[in-house]
Amino acid sequence: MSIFSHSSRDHHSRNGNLGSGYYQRRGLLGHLFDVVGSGHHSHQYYPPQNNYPSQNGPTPNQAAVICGKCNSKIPSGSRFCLECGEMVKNDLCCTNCGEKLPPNAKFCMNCGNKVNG
Amino acid sequence: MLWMNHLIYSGREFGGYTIEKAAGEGRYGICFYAHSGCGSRVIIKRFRPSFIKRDEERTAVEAVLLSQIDHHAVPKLLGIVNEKGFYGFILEEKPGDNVESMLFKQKHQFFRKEIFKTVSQLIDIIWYLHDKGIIHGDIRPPNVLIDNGVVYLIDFGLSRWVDYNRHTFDIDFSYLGDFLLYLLYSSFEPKKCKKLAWYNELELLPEQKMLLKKLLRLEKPYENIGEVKDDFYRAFRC
Repeated sequence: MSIFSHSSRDHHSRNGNLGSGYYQRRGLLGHLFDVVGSGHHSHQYYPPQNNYPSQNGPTPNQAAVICGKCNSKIPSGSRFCLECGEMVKNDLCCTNCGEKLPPNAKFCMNCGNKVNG
Repeated sequence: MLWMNHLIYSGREFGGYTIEKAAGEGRYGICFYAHSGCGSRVIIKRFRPSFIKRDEERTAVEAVLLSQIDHHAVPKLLGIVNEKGFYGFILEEKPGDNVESMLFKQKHQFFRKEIFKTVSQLIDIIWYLHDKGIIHGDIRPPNVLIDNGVVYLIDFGLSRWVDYNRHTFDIDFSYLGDFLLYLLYSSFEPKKCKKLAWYNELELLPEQKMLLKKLLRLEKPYENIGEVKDDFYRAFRC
C-alpha cells in the first residue's frame, strides 16, 4: 500500500507539460510538487470527453439487499454487509429449473417458482 | 501519525486477524499488514471514523466495486470488519514493491524492455476494469506494485463507475501517461538546468511522443483502452 497516498486529490487529469523537475523529484519537496503541480488543467488542449456509453454498475442505494444477520441494507453488488461484514450469498438458484436468482428474489424469473426462505 | 497507529494497533486482533504493522496512510485512514491464526496474510484498510461520517457512500462504492472485480492483479475484498470502533476492509495482500519506492528509494532505472513489460500489463488491467465500467482514478507510482516483473494495481479509494457527465475513462489515460513518464525519466540524465517539458527533454520516437501527447490530452485523446494498447505496442515493443 502507498506510504504517502494523496487519494484525496480528485483531479481528473495531469499537467501534460512537466519535465525532469517533476518526474525526477525526491523526498518531501517532491511530494509537495505532486500536490501543487498535478492539479493543473490549463495546459491541456482538449477538454474532457463525455461521449462514453453508460456502463454504470450498481450504486449504493440501488436495489439494496437486507442483511440476514443484522438487517442492515447492503448495497447491490457488494459481497459483504457493510455493517456487520456478513457475506452475501449470491449463488441462489431456483429449485425447479436451476435458474440463478437475484438476492432476495421471491419468485424465479424463468419459471415463476416460489422461492422458499 | 503512522508510528502512533503502529503503537496503538500493533498486536491487536480484528475480524480474526492480528495486526502486525502500519503499511501506509491516506485521507481515508490507514492500512495495516495483518495475519490470521493460520498464517494467511492480508491488508486491513481501516477507515477514519470522520471519513466514513463525511462520505459514507465513498466506502460503499469502493466495497461494491471491489466486490465486482475478479482479477489476479487486483486485491480481492475478503471481508469487512466493524468492531470496537474499528471499521475497515480486509484485502488480499499483493506482493512486490510499489513503483514510487522503486524509483525514489531504490533508484531503480526502467529501460525500454521493462517499461514495455510493466505498462503492457498495466494496460491489460485497465482494459479489464474499463470493460466492467470501472475507472480506477488514481493510477500513480505508489499504487502500482511490481513483483518479479508481475504488475499489481492497488488502492481503489478513488475508483468509480463510468458515467456520461462526470467520470470518464480519460482520467485513467492521463494517469497512465503520467506513470509512463515517471518510468521514462528514471533513466534520464538531465543535461540542462533549464526547465523543459518532457517532449522537449526526453529522446523519444515520434510514435512514443504522440502516444504520450494523446494520453495527456495534448493531442486528440484516446477514446478507449484498445486504441491505447495498439499505439503503445507500436511505440514501445522492442
